[in-house]
Amino acid sequence: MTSKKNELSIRFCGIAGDGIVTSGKILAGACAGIGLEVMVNDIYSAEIRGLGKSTTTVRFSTSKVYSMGDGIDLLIGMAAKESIAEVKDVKPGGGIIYDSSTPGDITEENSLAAHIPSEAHGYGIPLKWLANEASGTNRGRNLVAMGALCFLYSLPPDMFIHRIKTLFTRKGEKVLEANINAFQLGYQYCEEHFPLNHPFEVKEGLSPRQLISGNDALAKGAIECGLKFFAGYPITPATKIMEITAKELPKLEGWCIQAEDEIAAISAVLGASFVGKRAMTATAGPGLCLMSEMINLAVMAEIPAVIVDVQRGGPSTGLPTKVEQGDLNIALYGGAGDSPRVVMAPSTSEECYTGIQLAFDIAEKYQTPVIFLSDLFLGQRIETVFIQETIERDRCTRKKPSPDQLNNYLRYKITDDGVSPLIVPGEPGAFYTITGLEHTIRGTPNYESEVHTMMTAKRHRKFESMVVDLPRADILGDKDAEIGIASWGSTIGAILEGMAIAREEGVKSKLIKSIMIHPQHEDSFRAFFDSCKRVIVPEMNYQGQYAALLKSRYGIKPMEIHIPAVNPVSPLKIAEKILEANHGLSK
Amino acid sequence: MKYVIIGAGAAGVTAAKTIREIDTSGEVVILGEEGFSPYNRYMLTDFLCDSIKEDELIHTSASVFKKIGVTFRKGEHVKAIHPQKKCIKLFHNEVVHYDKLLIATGGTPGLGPVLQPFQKHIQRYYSLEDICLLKRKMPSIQKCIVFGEGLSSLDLLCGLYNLEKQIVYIIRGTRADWDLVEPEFYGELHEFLEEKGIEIITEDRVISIEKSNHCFQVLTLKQRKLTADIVFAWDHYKPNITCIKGTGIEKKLGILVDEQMRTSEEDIYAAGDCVEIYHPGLKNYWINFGWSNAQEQGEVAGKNMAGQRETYKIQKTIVFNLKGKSLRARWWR
Amino acid sequence: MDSLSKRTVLEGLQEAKAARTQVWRDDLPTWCPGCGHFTVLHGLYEAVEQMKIPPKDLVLVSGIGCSGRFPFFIKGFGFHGLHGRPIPIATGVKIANPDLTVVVVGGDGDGVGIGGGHFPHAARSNLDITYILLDNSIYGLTKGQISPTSPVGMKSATSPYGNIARPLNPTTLALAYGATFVARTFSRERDKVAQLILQAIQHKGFSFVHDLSPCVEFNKLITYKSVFESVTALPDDYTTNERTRAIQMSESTDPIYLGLYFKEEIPTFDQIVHEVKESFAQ
Repeated sequence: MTSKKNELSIRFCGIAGDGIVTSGKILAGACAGIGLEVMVNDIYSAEIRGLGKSTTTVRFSTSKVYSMGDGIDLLIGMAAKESIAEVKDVKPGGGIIYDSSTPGDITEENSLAAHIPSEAHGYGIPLKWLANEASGTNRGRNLVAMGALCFLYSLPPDMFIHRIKTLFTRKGEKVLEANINAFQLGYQYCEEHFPLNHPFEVKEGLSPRQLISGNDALAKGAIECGLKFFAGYPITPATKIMEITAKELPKLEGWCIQAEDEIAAISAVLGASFVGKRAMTATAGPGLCLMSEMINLAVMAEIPAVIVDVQRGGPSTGLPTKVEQGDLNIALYGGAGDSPRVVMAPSTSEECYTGIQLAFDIAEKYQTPVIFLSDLFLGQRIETVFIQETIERDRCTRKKPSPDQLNNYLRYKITDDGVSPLIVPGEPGAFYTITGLEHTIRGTPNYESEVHTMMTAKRHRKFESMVVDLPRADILGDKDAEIGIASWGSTIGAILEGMAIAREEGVKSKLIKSIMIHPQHEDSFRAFFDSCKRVIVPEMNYQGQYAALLKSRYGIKPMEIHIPAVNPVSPLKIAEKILEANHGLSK
Repeated sequence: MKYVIIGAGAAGVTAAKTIREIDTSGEVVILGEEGFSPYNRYMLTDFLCDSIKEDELIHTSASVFKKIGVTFRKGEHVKAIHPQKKCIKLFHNEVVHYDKLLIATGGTPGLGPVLQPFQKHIQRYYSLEDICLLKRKMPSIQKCIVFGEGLSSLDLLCGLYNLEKQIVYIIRGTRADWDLVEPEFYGELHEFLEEKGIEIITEDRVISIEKSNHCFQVLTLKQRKLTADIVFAWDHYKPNITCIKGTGIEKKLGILVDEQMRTSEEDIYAAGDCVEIYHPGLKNYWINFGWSNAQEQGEVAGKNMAGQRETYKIQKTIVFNLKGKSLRARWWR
Repeated sequence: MDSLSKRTVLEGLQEAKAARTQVWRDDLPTWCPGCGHFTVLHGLYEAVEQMKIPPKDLVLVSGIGCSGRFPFFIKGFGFHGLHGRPIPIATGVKIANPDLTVVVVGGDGDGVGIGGGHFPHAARSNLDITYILLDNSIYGLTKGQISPTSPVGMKSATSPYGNIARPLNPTTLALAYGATFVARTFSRERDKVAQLILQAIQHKGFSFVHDLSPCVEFNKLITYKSVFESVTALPDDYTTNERTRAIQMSESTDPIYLGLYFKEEIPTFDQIVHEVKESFAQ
C-alpha cells in the first residue's frame, strides 16, 4: 500500500474565494524551498471574479520536470460540484480530498465522494469545520487541506510553515496564527484518521530554487539586458509583461506606456527604437495581426524591434485563456512583400530569460524586427529555474559609423553583411529620414527596379550573416536513434518526458531543439534529418505549421502530430506516437 | 430496485454477489468503511509475515465489482439511517436512498474501562490498515506484549513468532487454552507455546501502560513491571451498531434478526458479526461469529432481499477458519 | 491657378532658394506649385532658425500623403511613417528621448481619418510635441478622393453622387481632446503661419496647428479663393484661456476664425515622467 515516490502532482480545485491560487503558491514555494523541481499550471474558467471555477496543479519531483505530466496523484476538492469533472485525471491509486463537513443534505449527484472511482482513495476531511476551529470563519480551508497533504505524503511541515509565514505575515499576527493553526489541524486530523500515508522521498541538503513564470522571466531578461521602452495594450496572456515593465522600467531610466491600441503600441516602439533605445512590445495573436503593417515598416526601414507574441487559441478572438501554437505562420509570413523576419520560440522559462536577451542582440545588431513566440502555457506556468543573473555579457549594440562614413553618411550603405552603420537622433555629424517606401542607400524614396532588387537583397543578406551569431540546435536523447523528433515551444517539455517513457519501453528517439525558427543553422538540421529513418513533428496546431516549414526547407516527409489545443500536452501520448513510429519502422 | 449494503466484509460482499446473481438489473451499492477493496481478514497475519502479497489478500477487486455491475465505495461511514424516508446519511452528509438495506457492519475488538485511557499506546490488530501500519514499525520492534483471550490471540502469537519477535503473553485465566474443534492440540497448547519461547503470565491483567522514549512501561494487576516495544491488547469484541442509533431497530448487543435476516424495520436486513439471530427452538437470540458464518448469513440475507425466501440454520459451534491449513503447518516453517 | 496662389508659390520658392540656411535640404519638395504646404515648410524653417535647433535634435514625423514628404525637405532626422500613425511614433520618440524637438506633420486623412484614434491620446497626455495638421479636405496623393474634412455634397471619384457625411472639424477636436495649445492658420498668411508655428514649438505641451492648406490640383471646391473669402481673425477681445468658448468659436464655418484659440500651461507628460524617474534616482 505504501509507496515511496519521488514525483507528485497535486491539484486544488475550487471557486472564487477558495484560495486556490494561494494554495498553489504555498505548495510550490514550499517545494522549491527545499530544492525540489516544480511546475505549476493554473486554469481559470471565467476571466472575471464570480462563480468561476479555477484549478491549480503543482507538480514536483526530485528530478527535472519538463511538463505537467499525465494525470494527478491527489485532487483537493475545495468545491465539490466543480471538482467532479477533475476526478477523471486522478491516477489509479491516487487520492481525492473532499470536505466532510459541508452542512445540509448532499445529493449523490453533487457529492464528490460519490464520484470517486474505486481505484482511487477518498479522504473525507472536515475542512470547513477545522477552518472554523482555527479562525472562526470558513477561511483557511485550503490551509487545512495543505496540512492534510503534508501528512499524507510525509513532507516536512516546516517547509510549509515557512512559506505560510512569508505569504501571510503582512496580513497581521492574527491571520498568520489562524492560518498556521488551520494547517496544523489538517495535519493532525490526517495523522489520526488516515495514518497510512504515502511518504514522498525528500532529498536532504538541496539549495532552494527560484520559481518564475515564463512571462516574468521574459520581462526580467528584457529589463536586465537594457530594455528602456515598452509600449503595449492589455491582452491575455501577455498583459503581465507590460505590468512588470511598467513597474520596473522607471527605476532604470526607462518608461512603459499603455497605448490606445496595438498599432499605437508598435508605432511607439519603433519611434523609441529610432532614437536608439532598446524597445519592445508584447501581445497575442489578434494584436500581432494589427501590428503587421508596422512590422513590415521595421523590416523595410531596418528598425530594430522586439515583438513578443504570447500565443493563445485562435484564429480571431479565439480562446483567450487557452494555449495553442498557432501564430508561426503569421510570424514568418505575415508581411506583405518580401518581408523576412527573425522568429524565435523559447521552450522553458529559462529560455524566455536568455532568449529575449538574444532577441535584442539580434534586433540591435542586424537592425531588423524579431518576433519572439512564447505561448500561454509557457507564459503563465511557473517553474523552477536556474537563472544566473550576474553574467557579464557583451551586449550587442548597433554598428556605429566611422568618422569617414559620418562625413557622407549613408543610412542604408551596402555592406558585405547587409548591416549599415547607424547613427540616431541626438548624435551629431549627420542626419537622415527613414521611410516605408523603397529607398536608395541615402534613404531617399526610389522606385527603380535595380535599386529595389539591391535593397531587398541587402535586407535578406542580413539573415544569412546573422546565423553565425545564433546558437546551434541541441540534439537530445539517444544520438544513435533512428526516430527523430522536431518541435518548438512549450511542446518540447512533454516531448522530453514522452521520449523517456518510450525509452523505458525499449524505443530510442532523439530530438532536435532550437530556439531559432528563422533563420536556423540549416546544416545541423539537415544532418539530423539525414540520420533519421522516421521523423515526427508534434505541435499544438491544426495545420502543422512548423512541419510545413521543415518540409519546404529540408524536403522531409514527417509524421505530423497535430496536438489539439487547450490542454497541456500529454507525455504519454507522445510516447505512444514514438512507439507507433517505431512499429512502422520495424515492419 | 436499489439495494444498499453497509459493510464490505464477508457478509456484505457475499450478499451483494448473491443479489446480483438473482437480480441482474437492480442497482447494488456496497459502502465499505475501510479504505481497501474487500479482503480476507483471516489472512492478515500471513500478510504481516509477508507470506502473501496484498493482491492475494484482496478477494474482490475493483475490476470484479465493475464486471458484475456492483458499485463499491470505500472509506464510507454511515452516520444515520432514516427508515421512514428510506435513506441513509453518510458521514459527509451525502444522502443515499435505498429500496432494500442490509446492515453488515461486523464487529471490532475494543477496550474496557481499565485500558481505555491507554488506547493511544495500544496497537490495534484488526484491520488491514492496522497491519500495514504495524508492518512499517516491525523492523524496529523486538519485544512484544500480548494481552487478550480468544482464538485471534493465537493467530497473533503465531505471526509474531514467525517474525522472530520476543513475546510475553498475559492471560486472565490459568492456562492458555481454547475450545478448538481440532483435537490435536487440545490441552497441550499452553506448553506448546512455552516451548516455542513465549513467556506466558497467567492470572494477571494489564492495568496501565506508559510511554517513555520509544518504549512502553506496562504495569499488571499483580504489580509486575514489564517493558516492551509494542503492546497488543483487547478486552472484548463487540458488534458495530452505532449506525442504527435513533431508528428504533431492535437490538441487544447486536442487531436482532429473524431466520431470514430481517430486522424489526421493514426492508432493513442485517447479517454477520453485528447480529443476533433468533433461534425458534430456543426462543432466544444467538450470536454466530466467524468468517464462514458471516458468508452464509450474507447469502441468506441477499436471497431474501432479492425476493427469494430462505432461512438460516444456526451453527452449533464457532469455527475458527484456517482455510484448510492445519494448525500444525502454521507453527513449523 | 488664381493670382493669389501664384504669388505664394513664387514667394515660397524664392525664399527657400535664397535661404540656403541650415534648415534647407538638398531634396527638392515634390509638391505642386502653389501648394499650401510650402507655407508651413517655410514657417518651420523660420522657427527652427530662430530657436537654433541643431539638425541632430530635430525629429520630423510624418504620415502618408503629400504632407508625408515633409521630413525629406528639412535638415534633421525624419521618420516617414505609415498612414495615420505619425502620432504614436512621435510618442515613442519623445518619451525615449525627451531632449529632442519633435514635430508631427500630417494631412487631414492622416489626422482625423485613419489616425483618428491616436490624436486624442497624444493630446490628452500633453506630450511636449507639435502637431501640424495640413488640411486640404482631399486625398491628394492618391489623386483626389474625399477626406474626413470634405464638405457635404463634394463630388469625387469615390463619391460620384456627392459626399454624404458631414465633415469633422480638427480644431474643435483638438480642443475637445484637451490639447494645451490650439491654433488655426491659413497657408496664404505666411507670416502668421510662421509666427504660430514658432509659438507652437516653443509651447511646453501638446501644440496643435490646424493649417488650411488648399490643394491646387485636386480640390476644386475648397480653393484659396473660397477659403480667403470665409476666414477672418479671431476678435481682438478674444481670450485664449477659455476652452469652452474656444470650442464654440472653432465650430463657426461662416466665418472661419483664424489665430490662437487656446493656450494653457500644465505639466507635460515628459515632466511627470521625469519626476517619477527622479524619485528612484535617490
